[in-house]
Amino acid sequence: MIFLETVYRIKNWFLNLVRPGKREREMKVEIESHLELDKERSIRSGMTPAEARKISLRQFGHVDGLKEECRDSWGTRVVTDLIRDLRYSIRSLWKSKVFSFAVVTTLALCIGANTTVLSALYSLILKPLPVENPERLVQLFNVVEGRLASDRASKSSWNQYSELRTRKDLFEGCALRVRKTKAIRRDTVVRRLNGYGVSSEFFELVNAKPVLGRFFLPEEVDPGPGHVVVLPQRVWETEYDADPNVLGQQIHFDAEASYAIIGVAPRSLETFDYESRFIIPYHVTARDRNPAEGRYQAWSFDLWLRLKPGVSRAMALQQIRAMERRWYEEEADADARNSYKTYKDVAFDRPHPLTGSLYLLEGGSLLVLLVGCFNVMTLIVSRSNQRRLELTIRSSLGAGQSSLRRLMLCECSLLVAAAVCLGMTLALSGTYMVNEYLSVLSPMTVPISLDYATLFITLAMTIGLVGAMGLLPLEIFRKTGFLERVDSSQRTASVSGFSRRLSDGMVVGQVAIAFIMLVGAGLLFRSFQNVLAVDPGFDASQIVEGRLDWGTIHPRYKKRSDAAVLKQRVHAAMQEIPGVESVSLSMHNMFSADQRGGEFVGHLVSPEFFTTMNMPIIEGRGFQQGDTDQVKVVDELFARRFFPDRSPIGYEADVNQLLASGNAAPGIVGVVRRANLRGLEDRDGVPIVYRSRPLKDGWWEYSIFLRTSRPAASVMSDMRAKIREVDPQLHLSYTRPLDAALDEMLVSRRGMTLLLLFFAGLALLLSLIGVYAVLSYDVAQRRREIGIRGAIGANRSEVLGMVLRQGASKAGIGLALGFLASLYLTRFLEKQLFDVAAVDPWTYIVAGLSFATVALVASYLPARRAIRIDPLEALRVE
Amino acid sequence: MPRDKKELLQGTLDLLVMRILRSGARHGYDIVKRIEVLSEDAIHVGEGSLYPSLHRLERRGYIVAKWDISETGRRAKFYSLTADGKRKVSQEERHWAEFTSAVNLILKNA
Repeated sequence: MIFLETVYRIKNWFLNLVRPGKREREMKVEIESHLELDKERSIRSGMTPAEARKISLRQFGHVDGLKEECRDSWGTRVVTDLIRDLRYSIRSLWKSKVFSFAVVTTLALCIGANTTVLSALYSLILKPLPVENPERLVQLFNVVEGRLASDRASKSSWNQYSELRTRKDLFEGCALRVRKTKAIRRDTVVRRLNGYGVSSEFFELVNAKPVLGRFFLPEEVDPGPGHVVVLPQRVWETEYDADPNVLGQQIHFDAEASYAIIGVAPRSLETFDYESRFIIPYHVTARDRNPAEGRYQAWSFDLWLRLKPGVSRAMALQQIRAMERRWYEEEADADARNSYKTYKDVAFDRPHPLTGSLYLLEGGSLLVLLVGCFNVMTLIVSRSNQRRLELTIRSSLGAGQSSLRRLMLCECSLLVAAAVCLGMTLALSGTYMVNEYLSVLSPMTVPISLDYATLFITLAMTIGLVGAMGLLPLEIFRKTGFLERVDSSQRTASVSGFSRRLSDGMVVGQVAIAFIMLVGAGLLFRSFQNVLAVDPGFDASQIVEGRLDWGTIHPRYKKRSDAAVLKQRVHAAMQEIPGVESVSLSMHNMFSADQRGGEFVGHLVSPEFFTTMNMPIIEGRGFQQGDTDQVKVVDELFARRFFPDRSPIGYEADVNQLLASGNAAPGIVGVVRRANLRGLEDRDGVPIVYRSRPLKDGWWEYSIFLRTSRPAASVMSDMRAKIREVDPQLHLSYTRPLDAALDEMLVSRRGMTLLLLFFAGLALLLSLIGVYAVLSYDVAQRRREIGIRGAIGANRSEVLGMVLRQGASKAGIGLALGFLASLYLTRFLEKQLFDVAAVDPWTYIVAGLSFATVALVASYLPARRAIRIDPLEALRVE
Repeated sequence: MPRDKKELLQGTLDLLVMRILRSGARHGYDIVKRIEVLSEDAIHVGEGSLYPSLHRLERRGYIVAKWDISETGRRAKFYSLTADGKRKVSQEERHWAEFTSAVNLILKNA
């Protein structure tokens, strides 16, 4: 019953709202019928109809007032008022298009930039792992000194895994994962797939439940090797059309045995490796188990541990350190002890390589937001000042504080709503762009997306903005009490001192922040230029690299001698390609030398390597045919760092006998020019020691470098064709021109620099608008004063100077503050700088000058308007 | 000041209107006359107060309106109490009785 009445009530309310006409008509009829009834009664008592009507009407009182009161009682007032306010707001915003456009664009750019950067930051770094109690899941790394910051931490060894697995007192679970690549052949096309091998505990450790089928049984991993494979859900959906009958199908990897599909892994696993196409059981090898080799060198395993409740990270780390020390003291042999020298520590989790850049960008976008908000506030305050007359009239006609507030909030809501729509569109295209680059910047990560956390923050921010934008001007007016005073000076008197100081302050703030950003972006830009100017130390533009796929070679050329023959045939075939000047092979691909050891990295190359790369020998000799792999050539950096005052020739360069005296023949035979084989930014990073590997030695996996003056694209297709000629079963996993590869390594720095430049430009533009808006408004306000000045003889240059001085003083204070703040803040940039001091005078001067120019332009336009004021006209208008 | 007076009347008016409707559906004019008759012409309710009161009560769900033909053959809007309204009337009546007796006590004894 009560329910029905409620429904009836709501229906009534709603009908009143959507069909006010019907309700109005009914009301009219009702009142009419009342009057008629009254009239009839009066006629019955002997009056004439006209008299009766008059009396009824008199008794009834004010019909329209009654109607208004009835309307109030319908309860739809709130909505009808809102609609009226909205309609009015749209009209008034439409009238001041420039203002609306400026506010919406500013806010949209700020919201778009912030949402994008925040999404990236959240998706890549802050988002917790999709497992139960993510804070207890940690990954173990071995820390070595002397590495690039990004790979200072290294992965774990098998021994660590097998030992930690038994520490039930510390860990609830322990699982191992190792990256694997497998080649898969379809007809003549060979594709290389990334995936990983895992221990049987892996799925349970990360709380993954099979979408289909099952995961690995312990006996499939150990003793193994079980030829079974689990597909990630994405692969199952895209390549197998989510076919439930996929279980039991066979996949042929390499030329090895085929693997049976036994299950499908859920999407939550993508967080651990987005690009993986298969998951297989990891079968331990003898090399893994060998403690001397494995303990400190074979760090190829991702080791995941789940801490027991009550065990802190620090406690667990301390136990692991103790375990390492005990092993070193009790079990390590001489070789392992030598390896241990460079081994420093263990750590949990590794900072994402993009962390620094992303926090920097987040800081940048927040500053832009701050400038944007200041700017919008300035615009709103000066617009409200212009609307003072209108507001005053409304107020004196009876609009209370609350209805004025409602009107202002309504306008701001409209502006912010438009800005949010536009901003979200920008954010969507922003995340799309980030994802385009993400595979280069940070492979294996899940594409970023706008998620609830960022949307929520945006929403909160928006509500805050509406409130501040709408209520601030009214607060100012209330505080200064002008809405209560309507006097003749209304149109001429200057704005209250308070609101003026406020907008001045905001302009100064904008200029200061924009200057800081300009300096920061400038420093990064100079760093980027400096990185580009680094001499790679080899002829990147003329060299093409192709890498032979180990997966396809291995089973056919298992014997060392077969491999050596193959290598010689490959080398010869490459030399037959027209236009090739020199061919050499290297065990490591370019830009990733041997990761072991800490003080320097090793590079195993064929004897012609330096000729191919065009790397001049500075001292001693290069490699010759017939050198063994004990012959070493070091680069300049090595010589400078370890032999600052003598020649390294004749000394040994070995992890085990580093810098030992020259008794072990033949040791270092030459010094070659420094080549930045680990990217341009590694110029002063890790020295490289080259060792010769003659062609007749059998090794399987290698890169082929061709030096040629022909266009890279045609050489690369020739390379692939030649390899197929050598053996149709072989293929190159990739080919690339080295200059393009070198350039690709800069993509993160380039992106960061460009984005920060964009943000700084935005801040500059916004502060320009801010200065312009405040000065324009000021000139408009002081029309009469300027008119009088003109009338009593001030010439144009005096008026011009007056306005320009105002602009200059605001910009000057802003610049001074920005300068001081930059001196302090740029230290946080230091890690990202390259060959530039954080207090780089040139950057500061250029930033300051560009600001001065911009401020001058921004004040000149209003100043020009000021000198055009005709004294007579200005005074007459008043 | 007149505003205060009306406020004071409002609560009482709602009670009077609902009480009169308890005996059956009536239209606005009828209610006015009924109040006059019952109060022996002591209370005259202005139409300016009656109709807002009726619309308000209708919105609150205490009464419902229906178009019908009056005794003189004229189309008029008839109001009647809902179940909710009936409960409300008894409640208000009790409240009024308590209130007036309290006021009377003060007037008598003060």
